[in-house]
Amino acid sequence: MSVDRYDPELGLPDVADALLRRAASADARAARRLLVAAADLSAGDDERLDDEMRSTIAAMLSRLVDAIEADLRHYAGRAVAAASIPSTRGSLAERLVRAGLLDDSELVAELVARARSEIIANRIPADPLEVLDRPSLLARLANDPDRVVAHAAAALMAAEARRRGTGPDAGRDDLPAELHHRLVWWVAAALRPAGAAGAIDAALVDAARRVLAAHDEGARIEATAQRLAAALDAVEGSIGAMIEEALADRRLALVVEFIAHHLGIEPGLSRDIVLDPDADRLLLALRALNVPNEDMAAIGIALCEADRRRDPEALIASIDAVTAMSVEAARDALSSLRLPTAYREAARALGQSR
Amino acid sequence: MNAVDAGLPAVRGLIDRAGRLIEADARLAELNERAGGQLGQPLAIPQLAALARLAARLRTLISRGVLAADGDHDLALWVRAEPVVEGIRLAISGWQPRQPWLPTVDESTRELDFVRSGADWLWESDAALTLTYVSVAAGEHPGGNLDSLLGQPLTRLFAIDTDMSGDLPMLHALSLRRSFRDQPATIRATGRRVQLAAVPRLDRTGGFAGFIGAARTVEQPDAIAVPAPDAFSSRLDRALRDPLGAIIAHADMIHAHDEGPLAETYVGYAADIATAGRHLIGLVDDLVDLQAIERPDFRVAAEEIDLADLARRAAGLLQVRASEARVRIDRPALGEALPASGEFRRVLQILVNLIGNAVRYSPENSTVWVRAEREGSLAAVIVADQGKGIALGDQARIFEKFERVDPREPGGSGLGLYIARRLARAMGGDITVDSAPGQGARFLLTLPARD
Repeated sequence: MSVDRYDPELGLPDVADALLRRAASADARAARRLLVAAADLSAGDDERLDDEMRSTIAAMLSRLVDAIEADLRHYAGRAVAAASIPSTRGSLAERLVRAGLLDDSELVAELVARARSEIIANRIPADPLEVLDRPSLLARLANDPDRVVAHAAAALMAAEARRRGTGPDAGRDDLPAELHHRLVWWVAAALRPAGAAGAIDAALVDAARRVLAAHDEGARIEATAQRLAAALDAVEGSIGAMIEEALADRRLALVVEFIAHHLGIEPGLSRDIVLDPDADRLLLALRALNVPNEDMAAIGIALCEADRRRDPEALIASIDAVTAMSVEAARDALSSLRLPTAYREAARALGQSR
Repeated sequence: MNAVDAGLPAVRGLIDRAGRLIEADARLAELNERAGGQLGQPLAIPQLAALARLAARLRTLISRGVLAADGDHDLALWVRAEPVVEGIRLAISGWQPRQPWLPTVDESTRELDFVRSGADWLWESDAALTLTYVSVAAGEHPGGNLDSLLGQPLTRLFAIDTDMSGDLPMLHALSLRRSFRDQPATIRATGRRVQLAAVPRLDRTGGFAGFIGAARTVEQPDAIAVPAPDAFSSRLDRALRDPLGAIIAHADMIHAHDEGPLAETYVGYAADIATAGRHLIGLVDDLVDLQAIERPDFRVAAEEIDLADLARRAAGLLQVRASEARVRIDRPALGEALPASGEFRRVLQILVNLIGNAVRYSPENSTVWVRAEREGSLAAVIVADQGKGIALGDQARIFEKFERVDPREPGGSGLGLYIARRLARAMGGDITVDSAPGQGARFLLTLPARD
């Protein structure tokens, strides 16, 4: 249909109307593209995500979304005929991303940290066995006579298998509660067919509420690792050797929780410290925990081998600097980190505003 | 995971506390000289020197991949730098030349992807073969709570079976720190049969640190639908061979005018029926053999045989067919002997197959040569024809199941060479072929020789 036939009395024909709508949204997209280009140009090479991170994050997000979608369809299917929620064309996760899901900086932070942990864990070199045929750390702990330790270790192994798995449980219950909450609503809304009737909306909302109620944050890797770190407090001695072994066993979440538990800091902060390519804070933390130099070097080198952003030469310089410091001085330096994150962030914001 | 060639000894070197290379195996010394250094002087290969410095400063063993320039190409090295009293001890393996502009693909990563693609189960173990990770694909039945198996021996999940040759591929792989495929196993909880495959995870010194593996469910016929192979074979025999025998006998009788005079056309039909019947009997024989040789407990006897005598017998059995095709068989001379070890009946079967093929593919008025020769510790029979030959690309294919030397030729089940080679190998021998299009084919059967 041509625009020549425009009649002011009748308004725009449908096709032209749709074209104008598309043009308007293209305008918004162009503006966004410019923003992205600017951000990309100003980003340093070490800040930009590499292809491995991108593909890991994309895979992770679609697993999370798929798990929620499956649950929602299951519950909603009871209320309305399953056929009335049509199967979505293409990837649901991609659609959510296009719609701005990743503007949620907390979700992005979680995904980035998790992808980085996964990549590092895959690359971490194993330590040679000191005792022949000795099972690995978690396998040993899962058979520990202390039932609290054994349970926590077994739960951690199961949680890791769930996160990395391919089965029906893969990706389920795998986000912190607030993020899970937001993602469930996103997915429910994306499942809503265009022009849906009220019955379908009601079924989806009800299903989302059920999914939220069924969410068990305590089954996540982070929660189980936290329980294990706390349970081990009373059992094991040398924290340095434990961290080293957990790292070689590719249990990064346990490393994070060990440090958080023994240093009394929030696990999120501990994870930042462990994943930071600049090892200064990690070395400071290890020093504060009185970890011997050899263990510190071994931990630092293992992370260098697994994460190519890290510079071994810089590591040496930092180890030299940290060992020149007393354990008390290291603890003092870290004392501000023990304060709640929200408090520290507020203080930082106030400092910048001056 | 880093690819470390465990098979080659590492090249060694020693750097003193002042950073001078004071001991070096030839390969390292040469690389150092090409980089402009010499023994007793500071190490001239910057990447190695940096690694040694790192190990010295941190007083810890460091091992990592290093790309060192050597002339106009790069060398991918796996370097282990260990602090010792005298300085830093280097052990260097790998030594793979690498074009600097080519993307680097880790061999073990590629193998891992291969192993894991299409798997029904994924699993990992530590060095003590404790299960540290397990995941089952949607649609597969885990047969209970898998979580309770984590931290338990791998064999709690999988019952490991021996393969067709009585080996345990997983144990071989474990001792050699290599990957393995096709390890038969059973999932204890469900009784499902699976094939396990895994690549080793190596520690920083190249030692075994565990397996990263997969399992694929083996399609198994329903136990009720198909009885045990033995019963199946004997039923096949009775169900097919007897009626086929009767059909052939009747067709032969008609062909021979035993029932009285008959129009020539019908005589021709009867001959066709008899030929088709014999072909089907041959197929039944092959299928029964196939059943037998593919059973895990298939054994052949090691008898004292005379390979030259067997070659003469096989040639004799095919004499009629050869005469009909106007092909001459040139067999080993009477009195010639070649003592070997194998099962008389099976070796005869192999030779009949090889000579039969040669006759089938020979042009009229040509010769099939059958020679018996001793080759070192092997006794060999060579069957050569003057047929159209087999292209190089087809020479591996013709030994596969249901493949034929020339698919356009009628007759044959496509199992003969497959069975023949399996039999030869079961007797400690082999069958090989060399040929070129237009120059005939030469099949070589070898068996262990006897003195």
